[in-house]
Amino acid sequence: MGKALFTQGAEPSCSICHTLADAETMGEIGPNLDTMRPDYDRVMRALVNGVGPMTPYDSLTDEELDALSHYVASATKADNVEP
Amino acid sequence: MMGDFKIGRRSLLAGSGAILSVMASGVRVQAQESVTALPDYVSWKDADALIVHSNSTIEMERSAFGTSAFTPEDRLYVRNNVAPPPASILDDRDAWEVSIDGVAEPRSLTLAELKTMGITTVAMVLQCSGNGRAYFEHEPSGTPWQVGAAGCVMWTGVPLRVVVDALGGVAEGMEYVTGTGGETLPEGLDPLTLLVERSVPLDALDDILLAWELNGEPISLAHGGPLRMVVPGFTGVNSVKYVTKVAMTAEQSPALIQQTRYRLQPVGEEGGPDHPSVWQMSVKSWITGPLDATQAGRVQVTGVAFGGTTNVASVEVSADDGQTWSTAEFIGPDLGKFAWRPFVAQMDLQPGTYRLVSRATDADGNQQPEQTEPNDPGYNHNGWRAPGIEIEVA
Ligand code: HEC
Repeated sequence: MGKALFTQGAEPSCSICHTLADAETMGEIGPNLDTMRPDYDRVMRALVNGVGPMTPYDSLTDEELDALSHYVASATKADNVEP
Repeated sequence: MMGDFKIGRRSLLAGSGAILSVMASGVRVQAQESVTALPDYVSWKDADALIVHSNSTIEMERSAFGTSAFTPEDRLYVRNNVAPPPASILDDRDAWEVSIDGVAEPRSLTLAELKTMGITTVAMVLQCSGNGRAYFEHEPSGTPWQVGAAGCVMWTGVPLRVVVDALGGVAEGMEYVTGTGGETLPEGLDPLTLLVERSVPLDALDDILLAWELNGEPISLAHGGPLRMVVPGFTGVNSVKYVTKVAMTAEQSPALIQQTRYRLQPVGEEGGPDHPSVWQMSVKSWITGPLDATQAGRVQVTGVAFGGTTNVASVEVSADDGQTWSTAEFIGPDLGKFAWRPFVAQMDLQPGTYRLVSRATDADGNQQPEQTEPNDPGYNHNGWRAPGIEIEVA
């Protein structure tokens, strides 16, 4: 579910702006997530509060936010993939 | 748990399990991200002197400051709001065009023509608005910069005032200088969400440069070459890279980066035009050495200090976390009010544990606060306590 949200479910799609090898996305506007390796909480904060040109993803449900945060943290092998 | 996220929107995570280490002072510093290789566009930089937070956010190691009055470009931090344009924009630097608007006779000029109009050099602290974000306790989103998103560099270019005067002067009713960056924006998104376009008050006009050299070399892609609108005394975001347009405007840019981002809103609030913009820097300093265990006896405690838009007047250093202070001396040349000044305090330290902090005062008498009043996005940190350094003296 996290991967699907990353590539298409979230609007605007994360893939427009981010590179994430696992999701095969090549966006170059935002930081390369494979290099950044954000942990669960950092992804969650970015999604809920917004950061830079990312506006908060208000339309996602709690379950979707959780799945997405878990997915990005896991896919980039971050140190913490849980809340 | 997830419910908490929504209820506590924007103040969330205060007590969650984010990776934090609590330093002896009680200051929480986010664990440093994994160190990775330098991205291609900055592969020429000195990897040993840098912390790679992401491909677009790279900070200088604290140990790399030393006592230098200026920062070599290969150690200078990097922060790009959106990815830089292709390197091919540097193929023919002199052909780069910038349009000047909001003047009596607006027109486009090439870099070659700018070079014929005038030339000056300014030494200035280039500091990311978010430098020191790691020291805010509310854990703002964004790169957890410590002290290294700053450097003191020399910009060479033509004063914007000269260009504006050559084009007939500022048009009636203008209040801002607005610079537009040349980043390539993706299709399918409202350009205003990504456009790097910043406005600063027209008062800054006499200080602004259209710069083509950094430390005597053509500006690299990472730092905004071929042409950057440099605004001395203001945080880095205001110095627009790859500048394609400079306009005197009646209003601030409608871009999100001006309207809602880079605003000093209270913690928990969304930024908006009514909140103060992140513009001028304030007085600040930090210790650059020693950073590790040191031998007892005479210790040279060094650091850098700057005033922001005015000269730094004095710096004090404390080895006991601010209980007692001694005055430091500036070392090296004074490169002007926008530059920083390295300083040293000679201290006799017995074996033990010390916490070194520094506190600067500018020429107007403004002193660094102990703590910076928090703002939601974590900008403009200049508190003296949090960036302190604990050392063991043996
Ligand atoms: C419009 C382009 C855009 C879209 C769409 C976008 N991002 Fe971002 N994202 C950015 C930019 C730019 C930054 C860097 C912001 C900064 O440092 O100021 C960023 C930063 C981040 C960060 C790092 C936050 C931090 O604390 O530094 C994470 C994690 C992230 N994005 C995840 C996502 C996810 C997941 C999605 C999809 C739900 C997404 N982004 C959609 C542009 C975008």
